[in-house]
Amino acid sequence: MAAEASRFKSEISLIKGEIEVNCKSIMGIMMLAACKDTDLQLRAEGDDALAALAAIKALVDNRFGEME
Amino acid sequence: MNTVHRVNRCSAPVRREGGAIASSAGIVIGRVKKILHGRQPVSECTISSTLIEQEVARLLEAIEAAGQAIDIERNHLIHADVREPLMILDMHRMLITDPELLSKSSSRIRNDCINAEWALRLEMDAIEHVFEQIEDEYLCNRKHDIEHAGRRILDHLMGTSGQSDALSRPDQSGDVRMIYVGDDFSVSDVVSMWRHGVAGIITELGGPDAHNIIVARGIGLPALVGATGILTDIEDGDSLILDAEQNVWILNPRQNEQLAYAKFKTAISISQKDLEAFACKASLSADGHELKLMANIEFPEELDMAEKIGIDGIGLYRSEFLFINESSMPDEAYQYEQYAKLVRRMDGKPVTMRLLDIGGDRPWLYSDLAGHDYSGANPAMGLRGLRLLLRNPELLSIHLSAMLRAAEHGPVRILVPMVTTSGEMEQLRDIAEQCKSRLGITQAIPIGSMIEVPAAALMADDMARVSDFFSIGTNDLLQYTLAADRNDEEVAGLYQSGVKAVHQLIVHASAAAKKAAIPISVCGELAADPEWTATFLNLDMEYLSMSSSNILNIRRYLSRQTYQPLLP
Repeated sequence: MAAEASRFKSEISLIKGEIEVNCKSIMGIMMLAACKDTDLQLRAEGDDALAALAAIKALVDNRFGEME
Repeated sequence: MNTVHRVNRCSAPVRREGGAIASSAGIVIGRVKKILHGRQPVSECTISSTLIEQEVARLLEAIEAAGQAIDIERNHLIHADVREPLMILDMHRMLITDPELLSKSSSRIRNDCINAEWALRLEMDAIEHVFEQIEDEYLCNRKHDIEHAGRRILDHLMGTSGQSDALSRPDQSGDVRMIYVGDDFSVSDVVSMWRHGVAGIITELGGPDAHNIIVARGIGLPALVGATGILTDIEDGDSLILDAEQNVWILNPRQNEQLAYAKFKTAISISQKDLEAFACKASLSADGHELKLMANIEFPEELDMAEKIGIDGIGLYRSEFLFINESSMPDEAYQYEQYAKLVRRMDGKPVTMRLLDIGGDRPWLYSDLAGHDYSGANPAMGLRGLRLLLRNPELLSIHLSAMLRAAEHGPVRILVPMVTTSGEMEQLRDIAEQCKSRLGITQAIPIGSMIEVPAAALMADDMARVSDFFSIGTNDLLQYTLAADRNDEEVAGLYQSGVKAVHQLIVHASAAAKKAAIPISVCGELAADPEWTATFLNLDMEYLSMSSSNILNIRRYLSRQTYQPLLP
């Protein structure tokens, strides 16, 4: 996910409850400790914000069944 | 084996003491710093604000360099069918270039005015701490990946740290002597700690003649190994006395003990003056018979101390330490340069270079070496030393050629490790002859055998036919004769009680050498044992080679012996 997010210029955050992390940071994402079935929010700010959100949503829908 | 129990700390630190199996001379009264799981110490410096941007740039460069190194490794792997290592490399690459790691570490540099290594280390510690709290096991274990990835950047930073050291001052108060305490330290840990100004080191594991203690002696760093129990209930900042004279450590010593040791230290430095009288003097018995004293060298740094003491030459240059930190086999040009530098520095005094003594219980990292992934059941008795070299004739030729060429700068001898049969030596000599004729070298360069395998000692007459000299490696000779692992704390005591067993083998080898009119010397730790000095003198040894820190003591001891030849 971090790799995908890094493709975009916008600032992208991943939010779980009170905690917000930089979506481009693999460490940040891991530290969020979000397991399967966790509710996460995505926020993007910038010129390509919409494209970024769409891309990441697609990633989550398609692939995250496989993530341990 | 030791189990460490977690004990709750009482409010007042408890005094504890213990022993150690082996030591490197010195007495240190200092404070504890724990270094566990082989963590490298990083230099911790405050920097002036004018240097902040430069330091941030250094961090960025190190990150890029680490990334490039991963790309190179990836290229090597991509042709092999290895999915998992590739995934790990990719993960490391992402961790290294993680924007949060860079921005948080840079903030620490800016806000706290500290050097890049320290900032990165602190950030890594903080991140790893967060991971430790995560309940999910898979995610919790990712902290190891962060440690490995971060270390790659640290390695690159420390490689370029020369500049940073010159421009900053250490953050520790000059009076506090730090003693690093851990489970085990590698040879490169020891050298790195010494370079960072650590006053002493103590490890829980380890036995006599382990490489790390040998190197500690060589550089004059006080140390204790095999200090069972030291890691139980010990905290950073605790007072600690390291006593290598009695092989004892005292944690949180009483006031009167501290004073007693301080007095003792003063007394020692006075007796040191007596030893200093023997510096740069000839190595003679009471009746003027010479027994040369030479140094065992791993790193060129050790020559600084050796030169102050006055040595008759280098009796054993352990060439494998040249390669210990390299990630690929150094080419002939690089090897030749290092050997030539060493020989020139000795300025006409003899240098005995030993061929690479690796393999078996000394793992070898270069994947292009045949036998590198060897996992024989008995490494100390497996594919190592000459056996491994003969299995890799190309590498051996390069290695030999570099040494043979270095001989143009001064008197060089080549010593062959782990020789078992005369047939092996003949093979080795053939390869050396081929190298010489290819290089157009006509000068005679002596090639000799280590006498460390009991078979070679017993067949010494046969060995002498194919050797220009002998050098007795008492460490391994003892190990194989006593059938006791020198690194095993359980049986290490046999080295004291069983040592007379090698006496016969040493006499036999000496007699064979004399008959064949070839020189014989001792390069193992027995050379530094005063109880053996008279024996070696009387067996007409050409020289004794030992860690520099022992030379003055043996020179003084020698000066009190009279020559009473044992061999007809």
